[in-house]
Amino acid sequence: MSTKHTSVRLTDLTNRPGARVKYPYASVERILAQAGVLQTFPHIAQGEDAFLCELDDSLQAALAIECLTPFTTDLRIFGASVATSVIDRILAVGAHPCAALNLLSFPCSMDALQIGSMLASAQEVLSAHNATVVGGHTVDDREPKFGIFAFGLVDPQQPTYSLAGAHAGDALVITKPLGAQLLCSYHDQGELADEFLDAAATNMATSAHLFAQHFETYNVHACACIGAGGLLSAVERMADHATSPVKTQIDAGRLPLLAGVIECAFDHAQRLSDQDRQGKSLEALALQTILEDPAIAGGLVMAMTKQDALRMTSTIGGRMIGTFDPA
Amino acid sequence: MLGFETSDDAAVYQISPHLAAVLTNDFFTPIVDDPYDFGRIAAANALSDVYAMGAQPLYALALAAFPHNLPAHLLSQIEAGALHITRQAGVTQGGGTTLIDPEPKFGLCVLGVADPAYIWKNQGARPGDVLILTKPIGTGIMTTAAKRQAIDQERLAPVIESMATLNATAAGAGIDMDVHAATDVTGFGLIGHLHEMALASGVSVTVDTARIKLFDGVIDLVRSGIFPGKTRELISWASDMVCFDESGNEPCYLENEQLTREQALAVLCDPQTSGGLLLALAPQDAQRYLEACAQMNVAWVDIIGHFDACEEPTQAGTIRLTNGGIDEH
Repeated sequence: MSTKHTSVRLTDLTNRPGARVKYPYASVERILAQAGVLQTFPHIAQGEDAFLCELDDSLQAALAIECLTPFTTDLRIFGASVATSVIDRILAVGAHPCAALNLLSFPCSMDALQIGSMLASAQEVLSAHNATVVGGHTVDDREPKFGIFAFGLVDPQQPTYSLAGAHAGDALVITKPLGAQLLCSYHDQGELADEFLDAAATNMATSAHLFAQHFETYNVHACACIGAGGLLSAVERMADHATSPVKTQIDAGRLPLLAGVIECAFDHAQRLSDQDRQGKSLEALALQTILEDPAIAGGLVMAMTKQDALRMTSTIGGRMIGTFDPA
Repeated sequence: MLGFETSDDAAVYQISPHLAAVLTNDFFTPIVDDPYDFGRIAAANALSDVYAMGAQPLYALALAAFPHNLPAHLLSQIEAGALHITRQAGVTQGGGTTLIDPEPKFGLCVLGVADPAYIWKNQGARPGDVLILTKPIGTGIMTTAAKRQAIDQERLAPVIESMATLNATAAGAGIDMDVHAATDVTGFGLIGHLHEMALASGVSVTVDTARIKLFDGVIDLVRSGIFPGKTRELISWASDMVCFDESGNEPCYLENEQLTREQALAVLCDPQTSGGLLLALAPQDAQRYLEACAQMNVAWVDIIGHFDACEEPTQAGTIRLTNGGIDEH
């Protein structure tokens, strides 16, 4: 899907490519608390991937937003990844996507064809999930950003899902291999061949639709998107909101990784200064790099019983990567 | 139901025969220095798109972009300003996203609801309808002047209050009436949005420039050549769609002050932030609407013109400016 042709290196226009543009969550929490927002709307503090809200007595809607800076010069990949990310957020709460509005914050001087290809690839993803692009907003911005505001509906007969609700003893299942952003970053620096970018692009354009369709079949207790904080942050958020105190166990050997990720992670670890290494081994640093890789459309992490996890992974895919043990 | 194909203020997604979701997103860079005011204005501006559709906003996600080194209390003030307005509107915030950006920006993504049968669109104005405007004009000129330190904060205060005023009351006054067409005045200025409304409706429109209320100081600033850079682009775009009345091209009167054509267009094309509503109503409903606004304490609202039938289809969207003499019906 990579088009390999751009007249401007978009990643040169931002110092914080991809999910690195996100403001640190802890700082945002402090800002919102100081503003009184969290006190007025305490549900925000839970940090769900999408906001579930009631439209009437029987109908719930889901709202989600994703907005990022380019992490690759290939705008088709960028557009598809942003769209997949926002779709996954809607799916993660048990809703189905219906409509989307674009948020285009780009330099006016940008080539319209490039922007058009980005919007087209985003629309392909949205259309494939039955979400219609119904409008949007544009801003002239020196640092390019692309976002999507998505609207979904919950089938009144179906349950909704949350990152809260994991049980002690649950298994953790993730929906797709990790490390796409690490590959994109190395490719953008000219240190990785195009085939790795193509694999990352395919990974990021693959939504969790198949898994979301079967949440109920496999009795999913809790679910979170793997996003800007990487796998580790998603699992921590779920652990914090488990039904009883849990201790997270992740089996590093079971983590599904895209080809090339291990090499990039070790290379990244080797380049760290002594101060950043904090006395840790290369293996530990490489693992940390993978677990904290700021993901875009990084898939879902789900908690369910081990039996259900085995049934799910043997039937529709995904990988069991660890457990929430009783603390 | 309504998307890109029209120039409506928000998108409409029909859920059932009697329920539609009204969706919009809007965010921009600071237009004033005070962070609390900026938050209020950005929120009121985003919610305005929903009110302009005759819908009720219910939920919002915040979209914030701040420099990483901006003091946290400034960011909190922006969020607090937005919170003030969303609470006033009865809107529940559901989170959002916050980015690191050298240039600060703030806005909201909004979900509102409406009965699809009663959604206001920017098309539907009929010949004989009167044109109503619900806020004074000139926010672009006044904020540009403040940025260039050509006016002080005291002079800017009423402009800030107007921009931070929700269009909820002005929309609510018309909610039980047969509003033929509606929009809000924002980045394309009064002329730009009026043109879209008239063009979509297949009618032309006559505006009595003397009836348009301006913020105090706008006339002097325009005479001094102070207005946003974007206005020239809008004037150039508008020239083909605007004609001055039969008395000739010049002069034009705004608030009883004589202006050149260029100066008048700089006011009428002034890009507005969180501007008022433009409504097309039958004359008998217009009077009822004005009375409802008076009862609900809308700060300023008036009839500023009327819609006319077009002799030729190519005349649709044409705006004729007159210096008084609008029949109040």
